[in-house]
Formats: sequence, structure tokens, C-alpha cells
Amino acid sequence: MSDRHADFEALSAYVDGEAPEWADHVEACPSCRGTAAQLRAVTVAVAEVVPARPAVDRERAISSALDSALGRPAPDGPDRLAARRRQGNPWALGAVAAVVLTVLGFSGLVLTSYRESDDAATVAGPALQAEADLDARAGPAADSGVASSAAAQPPSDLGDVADAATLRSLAQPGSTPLNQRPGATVVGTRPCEEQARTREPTLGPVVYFATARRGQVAGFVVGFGPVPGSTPSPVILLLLAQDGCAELLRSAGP
Amino acid sequence: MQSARDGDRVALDSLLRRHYDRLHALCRRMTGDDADAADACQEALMAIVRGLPGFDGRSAFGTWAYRVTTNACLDELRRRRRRPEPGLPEGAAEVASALDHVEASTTRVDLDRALQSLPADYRAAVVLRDVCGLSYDEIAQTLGIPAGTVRSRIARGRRALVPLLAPGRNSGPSSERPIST
Repeated sequence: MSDRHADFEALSAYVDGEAPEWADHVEACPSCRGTAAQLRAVTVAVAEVVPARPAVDRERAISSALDSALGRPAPDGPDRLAARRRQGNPWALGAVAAVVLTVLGFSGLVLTSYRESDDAATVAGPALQAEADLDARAGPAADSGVASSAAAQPPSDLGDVADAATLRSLAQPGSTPLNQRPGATVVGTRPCEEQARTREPTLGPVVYFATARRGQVAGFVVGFGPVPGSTPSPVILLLLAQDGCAELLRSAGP
Repeated sequence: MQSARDGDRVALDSLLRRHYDRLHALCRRMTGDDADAADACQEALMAIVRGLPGFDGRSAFGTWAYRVTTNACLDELRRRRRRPEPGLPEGAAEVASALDHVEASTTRVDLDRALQSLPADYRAAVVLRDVCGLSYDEIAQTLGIPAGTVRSRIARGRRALVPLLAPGRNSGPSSERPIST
């Protein structure tokens, strides 16, 4: 062992494996070993895992960067969502994204006042039934008159939706309701508890929302609970494509 | 990679998706703030897409992407100088000393605040090493500085971080050790 202590820089390099020549000395020298231990503690602290961004943020960032850098929107692909976009929804990306965010923002805003009023209305678990075909309708958020904006609860991530059948399966009777799927966003204390309200009388309260992806398209799934007092009271599931905002799926339970 | 360089959107999307989490982690630790990290990461992604046709492949794509992202972070930090810094109001040593009087020696100052207390050049070297796991040579390539300077910056950065992040900071021998330059 060398009698000469390693200086701080050498020990810093040593803990990084960049100065192996100091291994024998550090092993035999309590002082250097102590400093090396402190340095390792620092490296461990700095290496603390950064929580991954929500999938919706990642999708938005990548899509936005590509749009901006390439100067063109996503190309039309073979998937149904892209096909829906091609079928004539003229909404511009920014405007539609704003609408989608408005939906989510509204949820957060109303949720706050709702909680404060402690006026909880619980609805039964949704027994969803998909329509036989996806039926595009323009601008459901606008149709439903949802408005205002506020910070929203991050939606849960349903992952990639490989095809329309998978999307439909999310709403099939007997399938696990979205709000009961692992990682689902349920703000209330009970499943399907109201999170937000819309001004659209045919839509019940927002009971959950989530994100899903298909190919290049990131979408939001918004679940509306039964309309209070209505008979039968439907549960409606919408998927809002971020750059098309077409209503891709509407299903109603008994 | 060639498809991405040729501007194929699907290939670019796949490439960015593969690297996004690491690049965001770099941005998050460099800026110490979610919103600034998002801005920096966005700028970095755009710069990567725009710069990819000129990427000569002499370094690994990841190293090049880290370089672009680090520069985006430094730009973001320069823009942020007009706003109040979230860093420690005094030098790291003073804060650590003050904390020693009121808290146990193992108390950890918030990691973000500790990193923000470092000069940006030191922080970049430390983050590229400890968060991104780059070697000194790779950091040298990323930052465009000699490997010896990388070694020095990392050591200087860690020296400031030891009192803030390492347990037993009161009794350590680090303060007795010179930093060679």
C-alpha cells in the first residue's frame, strides 16, 4: 500500500471505476475508504430514479417535436383512428388538443368544488356495451358543452390499443371496467364516484378517464356515468383522439 | 437509424420513444424542475430531429443525443436566470453547516436543491455520470471537453454535494483533502 493518500479527485474517479490503481490503497486505508464511502453515497443519491413522465406527456412531447421539426403532421396510417381523421374531421391539432385538455381540466375544476360540497352521488359499476361499429362523431367534447380549465388528475394509462377490437373489448359487458383496471384513475373514494360534470344533459358525470394509444395517435378515454334520474341510465365511454377528437366509441349499458 | 436520418416519421418516433425517459431524466436533474425539464426536453427532441441528418455517426447516437439534450438544458437554464433560482440561497457548505445544528447529520437536503447549488458545468458532468451512467470519455465527448476536465468537474461537484447528500458528513475526511486540478 502506498503511504500517500489519494486526493479527493482521485477517490472520486476511483468510485467511478476510472482510477483502479487506487484500489489497493483504498482497501487498506480507513481514511480513504471513508471518503470513498461518502462519495458512493453521493452517487447513489444523485442516481435516484427520476419518475417517468406520464405516457400522455411523453406522447405529446414526441408528437409535438416531430410536428415542429418536420413541419408536417403525422402521416396517415392504416389504423382506424387515422382513417377516422381522414374521413373529414377538420379540427386542427392545437384546437382539438385544447378541447381534450379542456375536458380533463374541467374534470379537475369541478372535482374540487364537488369535493368541497361533499355532494357525492355514487353510481353503480358500469356495465358497458360496445356498439357493433365504431361511429365517428365530430367533436364530442364541444357537443357536450364541457368548458373551463384547471389542472387535471393525470389519467391512467391503458397502454397500446392494438386494434379496434381491443378498444371495443374495453367496454364489453363482463370485462373489467376501466375504473377497476390496474392503475386506473379513480379520484373518489368509491369506484365510479363522480369526478366531474358536464353541461351536456345526455351525459352523466365523468367517473374516470384514461389514456390509450394506437399507432401514432394518443387518445383519452373518458367514462361518463349514468345520467342522474334517467331510466335506463346509460354509461357512456368515449375515446377522444388527440389529433382528431372524433368520438370513436360510444357504448351504453342497460 | 438510416430511416430516421432520412426523416421517416415512424422511425423517428420509435427512436425518440426509446430514448425519451433517459433524456427526460437528464433534463429533470439538470433543471431541477418539472416544467423546465419538460421545456428543455421538448427543445432537445426537436433539436435531435432537426440535427439527425447531420449526425455523422462518429459517436454513439445516445452520446450525441445526450450532448444535444445537455445543451438544451443549459440554454433553458440561461433563460431561467431571469427568474428566481430554486437553488440554495447560500453556498452548499454554509447550508450544510446550518443544518448540522438543527438536524441529524444524516439529513438529506432535497436532491434537486443540492444539484441546483452546483455550477451548471459541474452539474452536467455529475448528472451525466451518475444519472446517465456515461464514462468519463463519453462525458468528455458529450460536453466537448478533455477527460481530465471531466474528472475535475465531477470531483468538484461531488465535493459540494458530500455535505448535503452523504451520511456522516461531519466526520468525513473529505474536507482535509485537496482537489487536484
